[in-house]
Amino acid sequence: MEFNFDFSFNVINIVTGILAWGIIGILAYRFYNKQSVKLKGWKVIVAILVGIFSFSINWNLLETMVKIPLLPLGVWILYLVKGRKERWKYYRSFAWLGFFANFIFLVSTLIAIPVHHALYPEDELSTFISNAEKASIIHLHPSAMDRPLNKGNLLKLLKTMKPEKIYSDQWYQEMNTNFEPSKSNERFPYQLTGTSSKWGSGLDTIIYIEEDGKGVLISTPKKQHYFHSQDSILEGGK
Amino acid sequence: MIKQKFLIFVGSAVLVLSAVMIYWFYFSKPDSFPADEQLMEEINHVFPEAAVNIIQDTVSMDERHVVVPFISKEDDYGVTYWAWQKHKWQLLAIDTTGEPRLWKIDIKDPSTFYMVWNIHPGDQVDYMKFFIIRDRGYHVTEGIETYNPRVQMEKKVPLEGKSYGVLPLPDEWVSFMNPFIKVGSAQQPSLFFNDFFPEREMFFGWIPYDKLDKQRFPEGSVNGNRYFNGDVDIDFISILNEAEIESPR
Repeated sequence: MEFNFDFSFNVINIVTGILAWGIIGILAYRFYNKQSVKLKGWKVIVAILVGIFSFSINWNLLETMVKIPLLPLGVWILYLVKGRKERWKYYRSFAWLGFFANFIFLVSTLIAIPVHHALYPEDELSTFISNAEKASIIHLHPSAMDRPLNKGNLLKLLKTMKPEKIYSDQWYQEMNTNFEPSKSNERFPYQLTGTSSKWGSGLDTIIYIEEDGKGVLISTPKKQHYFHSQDSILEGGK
Repeated sequence: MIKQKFLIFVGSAVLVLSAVMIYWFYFSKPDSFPADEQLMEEINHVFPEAAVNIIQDTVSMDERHVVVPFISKEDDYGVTYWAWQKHKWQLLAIDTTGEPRLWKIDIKDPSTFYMVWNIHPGDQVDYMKFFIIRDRGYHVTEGIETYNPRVQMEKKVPLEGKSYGVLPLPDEWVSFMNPFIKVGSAQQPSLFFNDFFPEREMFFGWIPYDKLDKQRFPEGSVNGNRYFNGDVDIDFISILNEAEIESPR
């Protein structure tokens, strides 16, 4: 399961998380009803939570960390504590349910990834920039010109800008191959602020704008995205 | 029954009392800031090396954070940092010389960052330029390309005959840093090592100039001694050369 301690929230993670816990709750309730000897409710909850504790390997699937549980450490710990007692057999099913919960979380992550990709496609600029009404421009580098933001164009281009390849080393070399190192322009001297990513996507972004206003480079925690168009989102361009 | 009621009564009394105590200790309004003589006494007591002779001023950043510039007996220009914490005006740090520092009052919120200085008049600094810089860079990892544009923003600050001063980060710097910190923190894979240090990728610098727009080395404002008391984030601001600053072609 993935925790997200961030201001922007990821709706899909929250929904799948709630679903996963709901399934665990239902299973626990069924086990509980089947048993002849009733444990106290809080003991059941503790047994499940301890059972969740496991040794797992992290696997990077499509830029998302997926946890694959391997060793049921929590179950073993509970066994060490309670195993010799008569009542172990009543705890056992809940401890294993806890370990099994890891697989429920795993499946919920596997479901969340394609849903997230479908609702928040990475090849559409509007995933990263919505609420452009309060947008404004900041000069990040002295080579930035005094060209204000053309908000009308920006709103129009949100729908039409196309994703393009990032030529990171080429861009870097172009800026840095000068004989006089302190004389240099920056390819992306502006920052677009006052916007937010699409509601519920949970995406944090830094948005850079190209010097001619025709390209947008977006940094997210996972990777960068580059969009380009024929028109400029800055006023007064050629 | 009576015993139970009694316990509930005692329990709630303890709860209310501790709430009041906690409020008083951590959240109550600050007392008025101590007088100059008291400040001098406390500084010289905890850190005799400072040898305060004159308290120049008390500059408040907000009602709980104060900077006190001073001149020592050896004619050094220093700075002390104070905060209202645990129901007391605490002396957080002392710098015996006054080259600029960055005081991060709330390390997670760049709008609470202040540049603080007390430049020795003998250094003949007429104005300073402050910079925030993130180097240009690129990398390709498993076919995923990343290009980090160079960020270089500048703020010119005239001294206007006053050796000391305090300045919050310009709004544009804060507007850059906020998403920068958010994206950086979200990159951290682990739940337990969740501290992102923007300083690793980004830094603050300054260049002092004299009246003739020549870069000067502020001899009398560097190489001081520091005193630290507890948990406070006051960062170094490095002196830059003009060769490290980019200008448009």
